Amino acid sequence: MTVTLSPLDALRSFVDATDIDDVDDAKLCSELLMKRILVLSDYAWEHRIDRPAVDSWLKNFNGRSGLPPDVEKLHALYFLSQFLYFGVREIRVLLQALFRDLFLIPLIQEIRLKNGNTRDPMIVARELQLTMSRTRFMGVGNPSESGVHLLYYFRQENQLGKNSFMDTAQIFTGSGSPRAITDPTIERYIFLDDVCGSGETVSIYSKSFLEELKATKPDVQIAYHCIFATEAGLKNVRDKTIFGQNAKAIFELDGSYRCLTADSRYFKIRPKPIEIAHLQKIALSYGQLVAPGHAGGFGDGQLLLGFSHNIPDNTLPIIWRDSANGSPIPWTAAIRRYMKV
Amino acid sequence: MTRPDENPFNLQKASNYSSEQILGHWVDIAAQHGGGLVSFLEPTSVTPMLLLGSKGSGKTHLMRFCSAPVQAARHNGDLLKAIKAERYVGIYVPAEALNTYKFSGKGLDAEAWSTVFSMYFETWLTTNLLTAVQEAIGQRFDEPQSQPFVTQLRALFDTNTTINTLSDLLKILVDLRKKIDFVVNNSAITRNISGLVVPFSTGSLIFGIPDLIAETFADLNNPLFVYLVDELENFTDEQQKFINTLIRYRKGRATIKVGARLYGVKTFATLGSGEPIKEGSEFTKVELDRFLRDHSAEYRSFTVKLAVRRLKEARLSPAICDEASLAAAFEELDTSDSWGNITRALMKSYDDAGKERPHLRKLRRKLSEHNISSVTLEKLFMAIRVPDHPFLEKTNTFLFVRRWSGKEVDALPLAAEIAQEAHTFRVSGRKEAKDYSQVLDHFSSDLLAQMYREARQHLPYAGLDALIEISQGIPRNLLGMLAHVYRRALFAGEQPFAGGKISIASQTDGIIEGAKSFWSEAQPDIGASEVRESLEGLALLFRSIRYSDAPSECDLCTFSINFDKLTERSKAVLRIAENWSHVIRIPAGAKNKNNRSIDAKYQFAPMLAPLWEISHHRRGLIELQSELANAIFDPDARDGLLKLVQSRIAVMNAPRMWQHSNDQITFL
Repeated sequence: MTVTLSPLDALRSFVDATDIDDVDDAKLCSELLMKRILVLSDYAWEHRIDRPAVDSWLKNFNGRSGLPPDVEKLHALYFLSQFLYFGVREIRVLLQALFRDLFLIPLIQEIRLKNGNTRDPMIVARELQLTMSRTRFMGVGNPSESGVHLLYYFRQENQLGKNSFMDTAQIFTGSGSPRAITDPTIERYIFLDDVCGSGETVSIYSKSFLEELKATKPDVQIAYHCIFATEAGLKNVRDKTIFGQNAKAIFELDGSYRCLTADSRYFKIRPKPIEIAHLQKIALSYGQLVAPGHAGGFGDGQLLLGFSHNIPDNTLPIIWRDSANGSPIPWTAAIRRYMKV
Repeated sequence: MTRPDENPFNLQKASNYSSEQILGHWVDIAAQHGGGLVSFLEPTSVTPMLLLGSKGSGKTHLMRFCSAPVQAARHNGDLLKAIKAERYVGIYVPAEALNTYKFSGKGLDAEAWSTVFSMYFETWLTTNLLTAVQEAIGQRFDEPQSQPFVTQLRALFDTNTTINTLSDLLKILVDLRKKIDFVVNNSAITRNISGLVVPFSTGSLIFGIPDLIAETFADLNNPLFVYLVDELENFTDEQQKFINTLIRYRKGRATIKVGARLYGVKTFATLGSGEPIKEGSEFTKVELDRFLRDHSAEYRSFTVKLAVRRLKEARLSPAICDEASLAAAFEELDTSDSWGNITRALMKSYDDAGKERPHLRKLRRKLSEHNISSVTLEKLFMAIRVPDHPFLEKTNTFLFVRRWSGKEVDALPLAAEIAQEAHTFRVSGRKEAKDYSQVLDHFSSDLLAQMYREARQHLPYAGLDALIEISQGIPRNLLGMLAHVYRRALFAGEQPFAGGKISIASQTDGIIEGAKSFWSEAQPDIGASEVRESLEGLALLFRSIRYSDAPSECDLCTFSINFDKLTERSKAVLRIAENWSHVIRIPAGAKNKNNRSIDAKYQFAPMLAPLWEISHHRRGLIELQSELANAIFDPDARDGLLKLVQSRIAVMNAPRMWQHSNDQITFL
């Protein structure tokens, strides 16, 4: 098929082709990626990273994967340029969505159904108030962890009272077996989390006392609501924990968010010099050095995801790990993760 | 202290500023220039004025600076004191606030809308006038006046009224305005505006009331009442005719100054006969950005003050307080040793890798294409190489390409001659190597640009001078570029305007980003894509000449054109490009080489030059023949564009240029 260029395209091709012996695609690509990172840092990443920090991070890549260092650096830059960051503003909006879409709207539907599909706002409001008084929101993990950290913003954004929240330690009273439930009027316990990677953390957590809670009060409703969840992680939680189908997420990350798999979304459209095999090799080679056994992130999450309050350990460790939080080799993080000690 | 994410150069429209901000952000040109920018607007002159300027040239800021609230702010809130001191009172009205679009359509004829708009606009101006007067004279505004005053005031109306005081008048006019709003807003439904009655004749209030006030209140008998009507571009043709009619029939102690974009004037016709108003006798026309461009010293000092003011407000560095300290915040290109240092750095990667420098490689390829023998080629290269001074080496290759006849027998003597000139230049200085120096004087920026391009590096833009020159007389352009430079520098980990120097890389990136913003924002409502494509065609022509082996002109960004020989579409596109400051018309024009006529002369916008890495300095000029000009500016005549450009630059590129007689190329 013959493609006819427009007069202007023909002129463009002529002028740009003149006497440029070889075009350095890698250099152009590197400039483009750095520019993208600048814009992201400015407008989305809350200035979390600047050029010196990027350069320091790129110095990690010095040919140890077997590829030339320049090739490694270019591909590392590509990973960073694809990093998905959610700042305080975005997290606050997502917490509104979490409350509205996963809790409030289904609850209103439930109330209407229970009352003959009523549209009477008085009835709905009354029942809603009653249900809210019998609902408690809690964070997944201990009070210092990110799931609990979100509760403060969650309360502010959804204008909830302090009484709607409790600590997991307050669920039971006494030390006997079985333990007594502190407030038997509570009908719903909603556990909030920022991200569900492999689902393992939630699985361990749920076994510790939620099964006891369910055994003590069989009609209690226990739900797990998180902002982000991988498809596989959410399936694990649904299949293997007491939350069952009450495990839900606002932002479900399907397999395409795994950045090293063949059908990764990050491979679909990429600049010319970026090679899939190189991306995989660089991530896994260096990943193995900085996080032995977890080259693709915890549970082989292969995520490129981070929040203002922390980076999930399911994200590629070459992004977040450094010597101070466990890397056995000297490594400068692009964006640090704050480790659980 | 400004947070890093608060960019001190972020742009705001003057229309969104409070009076205090207008005053706070005000920066003037040198006072010795006839009293600064305010005198430019001539607020004490009764002659109406058309104040034109590009977006961001500062029209609105200037007009609002002359408005009553800002006048008062200049005199501790005392408007009367301000009026006495400044001998005028400014009544500022932006078209945006009028919602001019609502006075049209809805199944009603243009004549009816013209009448309603005229009434509404006069009411609007008069209520603004009265509000200013109220502030100036205080409670006297509400007091009953003498019988002659009342009689004269009532006589301004064509209907019977019961007005006794100025506050009565204000109330009646506000009520009238509300009534017009109500009827007009509902006319989309009712298709009817018959509920409206026109109670006064055109101009009777806006020119009659100032005279009456001046005659009644002794402390207001001196000032000129200046209506400052901004954003004329937002008025329809018919509405502009009304403004023109006010200009024609201006009288007494009031005048009208109208602000508009360069493209904002749709008609000079007046209502009724349609006879146009005449520049000179009925109004004066001034272009703000042209003034600033033509007075480069004043513009320079003005923009420096503007930047320093922003930095002072941001409290970034108290040390930056004048031009010298501001200029010192920017890293400059090292021009020492005839660009020796920066070109050595540019060529370092090639030298370190043992690769032939790009300009030599390019010459080698072209000579090979011309079938020069390898023995001659190597000897030639031995002669013209200057390993420790890549820029002179590049100059040598340039001179060889230009001067060579194309005959192998001439190659080595020429190379030896050039090498000798280069040696003399280095050892004995410019005076001893006049031809060589002349080439450097003319073409050094083009040769440097070629070296960067051949090395696949961005052409660097650096220094306060470059920023000011590229901003093309439009303060907003400068602030926009500074905002991008600041962002880039911050990301690069520099401390912009806070003790550190801003790197050349950050400046270059920032200026290119500023150019992109200008390109994307300065979009005409009609014909945008035609103008963009035409401008790109023009830029590509300039680019192909600048990066040719032997450019016919140095620092090329200016062209002359016989306007009469253009197609109507070309003319229209060129006019739009001029109105949107994509090209800048040089008033003096250029002499046509073939006849004694004066052709139109334009400069490609310096703000856009970085997008194609063409020159932003106005030096070289080419004459665009009508065929090429139409291929560039008229989409219907564009098919032959490539061939015409190729034909135009054929004698500037080797080896083809060596196949022609070299007589046509100026011997340097």
